[in-house]
Amino acid sequence: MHSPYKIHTDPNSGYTFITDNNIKYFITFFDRSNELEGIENVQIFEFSFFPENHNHGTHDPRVSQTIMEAINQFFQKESNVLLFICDSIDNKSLARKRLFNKWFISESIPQIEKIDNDIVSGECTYYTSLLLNNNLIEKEKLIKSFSELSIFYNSLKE
Amino acid sequence: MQMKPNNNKGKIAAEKCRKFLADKRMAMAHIANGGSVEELKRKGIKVAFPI
Repeated sequence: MHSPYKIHTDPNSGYTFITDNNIKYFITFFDRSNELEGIENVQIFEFSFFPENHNHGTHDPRVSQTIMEAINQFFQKESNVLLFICDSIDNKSLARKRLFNKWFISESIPQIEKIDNDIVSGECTYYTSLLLNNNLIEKEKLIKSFSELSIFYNSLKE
Repeated sequence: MQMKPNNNKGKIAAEKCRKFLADKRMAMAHIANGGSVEELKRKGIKVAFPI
């Protein structure tokens, strides 16, 4: 049984960890609360992780465990909400979605619900997920807003 | 669930995803090159420390 790597706070990037193969990973959260449809009393963050120099190295199960541990810690604050958009730059967005789903299932985080929404635009599909605490008071409102895409267009508000 | 943005609201959702991904790519390159979160903030990208 493996254990997650130690996560360090880095004031210049967010969070980092270093693998046994000496690969440095960054875990970064972006505050999107003011850029999405306003729902009171929750903060919405977008989540990203990547290895330095885009060097993933060989398969290391502790990497996924560490990333899921970061998400677990993130949800210690019940009102936190996580938005995940799979990057499409190299046409591997569907592979990223499948990998994240696999991690989410295998490293299950109690009390956390994941809702997927695939947004098709021309040739491109944006695979998006919203993760939130089952006990969140605004849960149903937030899921409805995400499912109807209205979470994305507060710029249409009068 | 799959949403086809065949209306203005759907197009805006796709546009916002594009913008978020562009921000994320810029931030990744910036961080990997040793840039600071303060510089990102000046570019309108707010890195947070929620854990």
